[in-house]
Amino acid sequence: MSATDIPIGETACIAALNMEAPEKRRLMDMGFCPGAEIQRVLDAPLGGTIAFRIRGTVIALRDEQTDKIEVTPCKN
Amino acid sequence: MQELKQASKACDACGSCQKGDKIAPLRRADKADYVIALAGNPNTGKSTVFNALTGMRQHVGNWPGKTVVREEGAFRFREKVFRLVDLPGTYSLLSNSMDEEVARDFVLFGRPDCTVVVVDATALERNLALVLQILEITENVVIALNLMDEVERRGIRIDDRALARDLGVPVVAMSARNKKGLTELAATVDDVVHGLVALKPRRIESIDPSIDQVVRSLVKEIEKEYPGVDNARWIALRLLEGDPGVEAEIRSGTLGKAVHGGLSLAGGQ
Ligand SMILES: Nc1nc2c(ncn2[C@@H]2O[C@H](COP(=O)(O)OP(=O)(O)OP(=O)(O)O)[C@@H](O)[C@H]2O)c(=O)[nH]1
Ligand SMILES: [Mg+2]
Repeated sequence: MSATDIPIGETACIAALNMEAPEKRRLMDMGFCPGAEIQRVLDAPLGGTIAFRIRGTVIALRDEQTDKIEVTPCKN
Repeated sequence: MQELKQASKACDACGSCQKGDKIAPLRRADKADYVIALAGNPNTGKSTVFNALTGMRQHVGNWPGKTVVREEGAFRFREKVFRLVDLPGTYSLLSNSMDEEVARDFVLFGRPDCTVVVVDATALERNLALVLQILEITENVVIALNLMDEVERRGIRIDDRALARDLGVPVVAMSARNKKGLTELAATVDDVVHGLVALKPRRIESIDPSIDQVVRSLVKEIEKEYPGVDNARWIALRLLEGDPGVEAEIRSGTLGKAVHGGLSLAGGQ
C-alpha cells in the first residue's frame, strides 16, 4: 500500500521510495527514509496534499509523491 | 537586571566559562580572528542566535526559509574578534535548491574555523541527519541544542552529555530567544578554535572496501585537476552518486563560487 492509502490519524512505516534520484534524495533529506514512521495528520480541504508527522515535524506532500511512497504496518 | 543576574549565574555553572566572560557585539569587523558558520535545519533559531551575538537584526519568524542569503556580523569575546556567518536553513548538504546551496557551499568551501550547528532540540532525530553530514567533513563543530525552554515545557528529557559523547563534539544546551546559553556557546566555540577540546567526530566507518577504493582514486583525480580543493572526498562521493548539480559545477569550475570564486581560483584552470 502507498502513503496515500494511510487512513487519517493512522501511522505506518516506509518500506520503499519508488522514484528516481533527485526526487528520492529530496524526500530522504526531509526524513522520508525506509523504516521511518509517518502519521497522516491532515488533508488539504480541496485534496491533492497530505500532511504527515515525521520525526517531530509536520510536512505536506502532494499526491503524486505519496503515491510513490510504499508503506507497511510498523513492526512492534 | 534580573536577566543579567540569571545570565551570570548560568555562566558560573558552565564549565568552560570564566569569570568576566562577556560577548560584545561589534558594529563592523574588518579584520576577524576567526570565522564561525551558523548552520542547521530550517527554523531552528540560527538567526536568533546570530542577532543575539552580533546585535544585528536579521529576519526572524516562525516559518522555515526566511534566511536566503549569507549574512555576516561580528562580536568580540575574550579579546578576539569572531566573524559570524548566518546561513539559510537546510535539511541536507546534498540538496540542490538555491538557498540550500548557499549553506552547503559555505560549510564545505568557506573554511570556517568552527561550524555551529543549531538544532531544534524538540525534533532531535530529524536534526541529527545534517549534524552527521557535517561531522563527515569537519571536526570543528559545536552543537547548539536550541529551544531547550520548549523541551522543558513539553517534559522531554535530553541527555546532552551522552549526546556530546556519542557525537564526539561539544553540545551546548540553550534557549536563544530567552538569551540563555549564549555565553556558554561563545566560550565553547572559543575553546574549539583554540584547540582546547578533544574532538572525535562520529563518522561512518563501514564503507565497502571496493567503493572506498574507487572513491580514493577519484579523490586523487580531483586533487590533480584542482590543487588545493577542499573536501575532495565529498565531491568524489557526489560524482559517484550521479549528482547532476555537482557534476555540472565541476565541469564549469563553479563549485563553491559563491564563497571564493569557484574551483578555478582554487588552482585549476
Ligand atoms: N521557544 C523558543 N523559540 C525560539 C528559540 N530560538 C528561536 N526561536 C524561535 O524560532 C523561530 C525561528 O527562529 P529563526 O532565528 O528565524 O530561525 P532560523 O533558523 O534562522 O530560520 P531560517 O532562516 O528560516 O532557517 C522564531 O519564531 C524564533 O523566535 C528558543 O530558544 N526557544
Ligand atoms: Mg534565519
